[in-house]
Amino acid sequence: MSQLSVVFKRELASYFATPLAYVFIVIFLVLAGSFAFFFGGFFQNGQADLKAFFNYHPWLYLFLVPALSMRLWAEERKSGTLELLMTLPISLRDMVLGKYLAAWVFTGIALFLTFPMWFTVNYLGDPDNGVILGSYVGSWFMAGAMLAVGSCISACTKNQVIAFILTVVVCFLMMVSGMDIVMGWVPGWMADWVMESIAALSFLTHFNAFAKGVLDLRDIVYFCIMIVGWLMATAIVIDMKKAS
Amino acid sequence: MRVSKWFSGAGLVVLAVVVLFSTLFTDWLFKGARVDLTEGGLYTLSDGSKNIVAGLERPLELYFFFSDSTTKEALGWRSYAKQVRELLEEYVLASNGKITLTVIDPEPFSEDEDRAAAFGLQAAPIGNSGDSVYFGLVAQYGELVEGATPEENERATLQIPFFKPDRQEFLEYDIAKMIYQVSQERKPRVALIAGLEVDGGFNMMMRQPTQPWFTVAQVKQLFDVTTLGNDEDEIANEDYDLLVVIHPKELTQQTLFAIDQYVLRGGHALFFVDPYAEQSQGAASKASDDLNKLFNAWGVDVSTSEFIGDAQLALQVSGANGQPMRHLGILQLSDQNLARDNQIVSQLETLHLSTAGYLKPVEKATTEMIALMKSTQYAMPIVSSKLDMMQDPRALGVGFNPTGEEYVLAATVRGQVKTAFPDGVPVSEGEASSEDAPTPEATVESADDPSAEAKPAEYLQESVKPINVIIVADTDVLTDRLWVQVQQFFGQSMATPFADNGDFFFNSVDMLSGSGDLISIRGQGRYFRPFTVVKEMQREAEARFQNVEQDLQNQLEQVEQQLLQLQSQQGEAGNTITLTPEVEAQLMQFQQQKLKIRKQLRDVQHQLNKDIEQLDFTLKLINIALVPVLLTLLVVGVAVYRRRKR
Repeated sequence: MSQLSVVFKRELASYFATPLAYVFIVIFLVLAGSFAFFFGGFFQNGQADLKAFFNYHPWLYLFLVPALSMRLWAEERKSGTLELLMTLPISLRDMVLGKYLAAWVFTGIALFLTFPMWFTVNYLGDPDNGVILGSYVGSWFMAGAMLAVGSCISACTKNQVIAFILTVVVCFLMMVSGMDIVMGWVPGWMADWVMESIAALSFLTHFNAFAKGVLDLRDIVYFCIMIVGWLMATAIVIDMKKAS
Repeated sequence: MRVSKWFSGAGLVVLAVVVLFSTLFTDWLFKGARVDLTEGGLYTLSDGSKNIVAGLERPLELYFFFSDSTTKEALGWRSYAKQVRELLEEYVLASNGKITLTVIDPEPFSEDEDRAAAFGLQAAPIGNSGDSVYFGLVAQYGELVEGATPEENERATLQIPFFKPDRQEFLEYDIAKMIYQVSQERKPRVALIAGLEVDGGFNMMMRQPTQPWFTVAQVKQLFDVTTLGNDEDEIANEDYDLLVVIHPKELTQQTLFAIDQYVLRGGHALFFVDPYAEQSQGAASKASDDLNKLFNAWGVDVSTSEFIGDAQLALQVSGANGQPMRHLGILQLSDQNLARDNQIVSQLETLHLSTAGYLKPVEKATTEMIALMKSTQYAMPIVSSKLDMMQDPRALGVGFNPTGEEYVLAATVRGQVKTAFPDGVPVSEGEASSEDAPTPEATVESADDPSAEAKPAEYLQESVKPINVIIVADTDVLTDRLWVQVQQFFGQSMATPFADNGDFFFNSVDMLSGSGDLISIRGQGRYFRPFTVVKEMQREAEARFQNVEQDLQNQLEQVEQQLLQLQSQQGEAGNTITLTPEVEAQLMQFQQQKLKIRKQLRDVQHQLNKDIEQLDFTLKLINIALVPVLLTLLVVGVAVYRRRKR
């Protein structure tokens, strides 16, 4: 068994060993359902699609994913188990990736458990299931990208609360970059490509592309770059902290 | 040691830069690599587009204008523009070099901006800054000859002045239509005979002009439409590819004969007739029986005094007090009611008809009647005079008893036919008045027609080839109110359809007059995916409560009548102040009865929505609580199991 899968399994099992998994999943499901029905007006709209459901995912993740990711490294660091981990014959890469994948798969499980929504909409009418599939994939990728951000920030601090708040802030900025709220701050003399790339960083635009029902390679690659980039940053931060 | 160099602050900076650059590069590196999961392949170039592009004989130049520099902050518009540009690039790829694309950023006060304006593109203020933004497309068809004068180089030019956000779903169609249109050397020619104000008229009640029908206006863009009067002597096949007749009133015998001969000579025709055209008032709303003379000769009879009510298809409308109710005469047709194997309607999602008549084959018909639209079996014909004084659409439900038959609302008629005028050419009224005793209603309008006398020898007794006509037993289907909202957007009328009526008319004209490629693109977007289960529940509940409600309503009216009578008796007796105890008791009784019935009525109305509210509640419960509750049980179960094991 490779080291990666050992870390992955240990980590995933640890979620279910504590009430964390239960609390997270229940809150996610209740909120996702409530938002779709009460705020999104899913039933009143009378339209057989899950827009009312997926529209709230980014905002749900904004608070739930940091809650999940804050403990990834900060907890180990505080309890001193990080040093212990470092002495084990496991490469840094496997450790970062294993922990991250466990968290990502965990959000996938939570997302999967929203399947009654899919049954509901198929019972009520004749939805475009391609669009729904695309939305699910996009939603999962977005959760993954946010987790990667959270992983890096969690590695930076011992304090889980600080990790949580910082992750929320950074994810929020990543989400709205490209919108007026961010672009208004970018000085007008900046080169076009800087503006372009800031706009291209937005989670929301890429998620919305998925939610249309189109799996565009660019959107997939974007999320992959985000995940890989933030995970590499995580590794660098951990290594720097270790050195100091 | 070399590796650890990366594990530093500098490493983080390098990483950030690499990530930024790669997000930028992927944007143009992986263009066009995508899997389209949508049902209709909404984001993929369709075969219809490819066919249109393949049909191009001469080079086509596309100029895509987008104010790139002034929309830095308007992300939504930028992503839409990107979608447009990529779709155009797909067209270029599919065209084998026939199409060239030039992307232009018309910066303010630049030559490009002047060019955009000269092409007739529109600038719209966008975002907080309110800068004028160009976002349009120009197509020019034909080759430029070197050294030729500008006049000689006059090329067919068309433009999409501005890509409107709510047409995003129809982007491909809009572009394909423009390419098709600009490359047409000659537009198909359509003759139109209309008895209704299809080109707009004047509303006496509102004292303002009415808009032209959007269906007709749309067709006029792509076809060369000539409006004929209702006194045509001849409709020449060489001049027209298609004849469209919309609810004509008082067609002269000459016109009918002209239509007859036109069809016998193999001319394609499209008819809209209606037992009750809501767009015109009074006697004009009734169908003219004249056309049935032709239809009967073609083996079809169209109802002129009855329309179809259908309990299953009845559309929900808002009643006088704004509460929703179903109108038996306004029908919403979908998949099951449309001929799936017919290209005209196969792609359509929803059609709205209002007080449509029905078609049935006559005995010994020599033609084949192929249904395009059908009612369900929960339908029955209703006498159209019922509509004249109708206040409340629910009145149609009284005595409604479905016959179990599916009625044909529109059909294609094909086959060999004989003329409807076996006795020859009818004499024009003008001539009749000069020869015979003058009739009072005769108007001298088409007199002095020397050809009328020469015709008898020439006219056709039967069709030279199988005829091909479409008859639709409804004209309201063409009116805006049943399918589209037209709004003004920067001085342009912008249409937001909520049904496919426009597509239906367009498809029919398109098919009968020749080309059919655009059809395959149209109707790809499905903007209407209703909760079928909820609609079915509504229908059932209404059917269940309709009779109860009607009974109560009648009771209420009776009681009110009695109450009124009593009060007036009281008034006549001049005894308004003192009431006899008996009368008083009776009054009280009536009033209490009235209150009771009203309460019952409210209950019935409440009952109507009860099932649906119950469903709403159940679904909320399932989606919000079911899985969490199951998980809780699981967690508790596991905990108990573990404790026992210990």
